[in-house]
Amino acid sequence: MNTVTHSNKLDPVTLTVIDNFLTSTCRDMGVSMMKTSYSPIFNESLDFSCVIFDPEGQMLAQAEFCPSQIGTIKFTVNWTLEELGLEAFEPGDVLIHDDPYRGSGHVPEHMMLKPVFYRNEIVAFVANVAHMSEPGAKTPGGLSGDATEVFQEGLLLPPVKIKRRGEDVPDIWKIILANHRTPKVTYGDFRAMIGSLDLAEARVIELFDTYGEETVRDATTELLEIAERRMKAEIASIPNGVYYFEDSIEDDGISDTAYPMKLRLTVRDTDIIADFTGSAPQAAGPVNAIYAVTASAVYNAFLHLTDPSIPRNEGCYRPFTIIAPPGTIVNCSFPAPVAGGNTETSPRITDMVFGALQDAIPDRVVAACGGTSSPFLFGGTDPRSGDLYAHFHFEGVGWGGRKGQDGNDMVVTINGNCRNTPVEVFETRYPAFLIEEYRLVADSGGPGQWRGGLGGERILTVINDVTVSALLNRMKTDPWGVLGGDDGQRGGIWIKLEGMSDWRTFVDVFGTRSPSKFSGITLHAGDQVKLVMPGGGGYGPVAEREVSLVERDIENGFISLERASIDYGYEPSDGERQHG
Amino acid sequence: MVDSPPSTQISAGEWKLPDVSYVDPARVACEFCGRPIPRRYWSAEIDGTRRSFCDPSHAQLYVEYWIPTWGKNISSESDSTEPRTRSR
Repeated sequence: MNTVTHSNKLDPVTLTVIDNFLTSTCRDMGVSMMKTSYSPIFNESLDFSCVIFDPEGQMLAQAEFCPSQIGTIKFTVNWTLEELGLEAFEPGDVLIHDDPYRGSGHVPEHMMLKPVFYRNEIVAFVANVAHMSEPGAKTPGGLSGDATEVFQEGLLLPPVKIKRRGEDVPDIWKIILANHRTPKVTYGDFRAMIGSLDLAEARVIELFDTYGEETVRDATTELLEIAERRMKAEIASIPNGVYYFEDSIEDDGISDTAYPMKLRLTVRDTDIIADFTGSAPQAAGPVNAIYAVTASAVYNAFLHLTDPSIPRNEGCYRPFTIIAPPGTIVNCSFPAPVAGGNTETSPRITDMVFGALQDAIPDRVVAACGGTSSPFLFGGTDPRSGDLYAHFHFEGVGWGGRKGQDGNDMVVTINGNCRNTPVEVFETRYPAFLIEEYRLVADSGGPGQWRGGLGGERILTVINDVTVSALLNRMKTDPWGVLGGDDGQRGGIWIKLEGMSDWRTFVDVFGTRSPSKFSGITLHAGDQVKLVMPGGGGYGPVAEREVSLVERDIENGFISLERASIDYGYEPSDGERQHG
Repeated sequence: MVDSPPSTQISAGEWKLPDVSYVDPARVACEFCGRPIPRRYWSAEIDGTRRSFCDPSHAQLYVEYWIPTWGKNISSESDSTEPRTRSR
């Protein structure tokens, strides 16, 4: 629970109660979607976010769901309000929107927005954004690793009303459902989103009934100021200066070209400019980020670096200015494909902020994480029902080490905060694969005083014909360490067709242009796929790691004796480290 | 964020509200930050060139940050240039 102080007009208790009411409403919106949705990407992975805005388009509260969305939704909602104007909204309306070139993160993420009227005036907007497992793209699951235009990534929806004055707009529903492979699932997930908005609308009205319009408005105005003030105070603790970092996306699924990204981060007193000028031109393939994604990734980094009790509203984002030149990989121009910008480029940008600040605030930064949301998409026909199905499968990666703590093992990357789909749900819902193996990969975490988290490995055996796609990164480059820590281990994806004796790349077997970004490959019963996810980078020199922690890792199977000797100078005979 | 060159001149500026057509979805991008602007934008003349921004604060930052850092002849909207200096 947040505790708010320093109120000018309201007592701290009232201010705190209103802040927590707004935030808990957003959390309840998410729980409602989790419990009522149809697809596992909602009810298992929790790939959604929930927010409340004021009529001026200022975000008043949000819940801690998917970090890549909690920043982008600000732009998605603002775009909708600016393009349409307040006069476009009537009581009971619900708008839907997924167009990346109007501020949505990428096409699969659908935003729904509902105005809240109180005494015949709009007093708030409630909104959620959620990743649909099937947006009507060229391949099942939506993320096509070799897409060359946004049109291949799903049905583009500008802000349109899916409900008008409380009634469904059947024409819009028909258009959307006719374009999705899994209309029943989409229908159920959309209903879950709408139900979540209805819940939030009722709560906001309850808030106004309880406290009155003037008190709520005073409180929200002050909460925005408090959040801004507290974020500025956090920034003030970072030494003034200009900090630089570079990283790259290793390929785009179309060619073997790497796409460098450059960050020039200026900290001056209480404000920050994150300037990506000099980053590579936009890619031909789907690794481009739109402006909102780049901005959101920067916000995400600073939410990790600062006090988590700062109210998560518009105010905490005010001190940040993001410069992303149009036509580049960090702010692509229409109609470039963007699916992987939100899943792959986003975590890389967040890591770049940590990398840039490693010398300025060494106690707070984190080494690079596995840096991929590990999108492995698949779909086919369920032999039990004859219905089409589609799924976006996440895989966890190792997170970077940080001061006082090894990196998280096998957690969905830093921009996702999503949960892995349990094997039982995976196998029950989708009659495509049996999970033969699912384990942590020893030695995948970057050595360091604080070790990078471990990546994982999953082996899937096909049991029914299935079409697969992938959009993975950190398969050619390693997640870097910080402050003397070593790199984590890169990942990979391999195929073994029935009858083959060894694992091969998709390039070797299917002639894909990238080993980790491709789409529309049909596999058959008996074929196997191996997914290996990257580990995280290490933090600090290996010589500083306590011997007891090395021994603990050996005992747990997190590192091998061989690597313990090579990386840490560990000798099992006496347990003493041999430095050098 | 950094001192602006003393010779830079910025006009008062004005808000502009272009018509939006669903036939032509092209949007103005802020010449400081690069963000596509949904509709209303701030138009200001800087050293004789009229430029479009998200709001007046970005026109000011264009003068205070962009020009001293990257020079007068380019904008975020028009180019992705190399930094003058860089280190890691």
